[in-house]
Amino acid sequence: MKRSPVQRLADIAALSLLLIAGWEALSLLIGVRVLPSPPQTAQRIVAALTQPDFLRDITATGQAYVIALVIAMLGGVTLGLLFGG
Amino acid sequence: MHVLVAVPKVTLYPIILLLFGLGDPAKIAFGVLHGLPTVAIMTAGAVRSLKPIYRKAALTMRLTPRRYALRILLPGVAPEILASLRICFAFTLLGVLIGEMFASAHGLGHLLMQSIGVDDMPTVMAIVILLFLFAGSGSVALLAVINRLNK
Repeated sequence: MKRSPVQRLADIAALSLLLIAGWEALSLLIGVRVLPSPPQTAQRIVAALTQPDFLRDITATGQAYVIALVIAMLGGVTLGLLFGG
Repeated sequence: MHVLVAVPKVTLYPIILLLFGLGDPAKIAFGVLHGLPTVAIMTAGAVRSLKPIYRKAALTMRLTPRRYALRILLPGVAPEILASLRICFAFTLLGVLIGEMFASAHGLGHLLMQSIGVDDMPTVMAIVILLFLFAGSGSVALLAVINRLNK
């Protein structure tokens, strides 16, 4: 049975809430020192995204990743066409 | 190529470091090492399962190998190449992050190891969640593109 886009969005929202609730419960169970809670993590993400060092690290990873992805795709397709033919 | 997929690639990292040195070239090479074999295997499989009538039609029309590849082969295996892109997207990210963890002065992998070393769990979780959101949204977006092209 095909689900409408609204139903699919509702499913995604429900699953996301379930995961966050599970994460919060686990964090309370084993301690925030081992597993920070969702609000703590969200706070840290917001703080990190305003730090130039963190943005520099994201940029460094992003650049390396894009180059590696392009090479992997082009190289992989070329080798696949050669070996498959 | 199947052997390369089966080998735990982290064991090849010292060789990669000797070949490319510390820094960006090594982590890019490690990312490529993770992503390339999967794409190659899926593309080769798609080429082998292409209907023989296409090859016969190309021979009948006396197409050059280049024209055969561009006009018949690539369009014929495009759905499988896009499917392999989804897998390559994840594996290449894994390779780049692992490369950064061991021998890089910058990047999220390096920051992750640094944060683990000083027991900064909020930063560790922040990086994990950001990577999860990036990889997840990328995969969903590629799946949407593949589904739209397959219609």
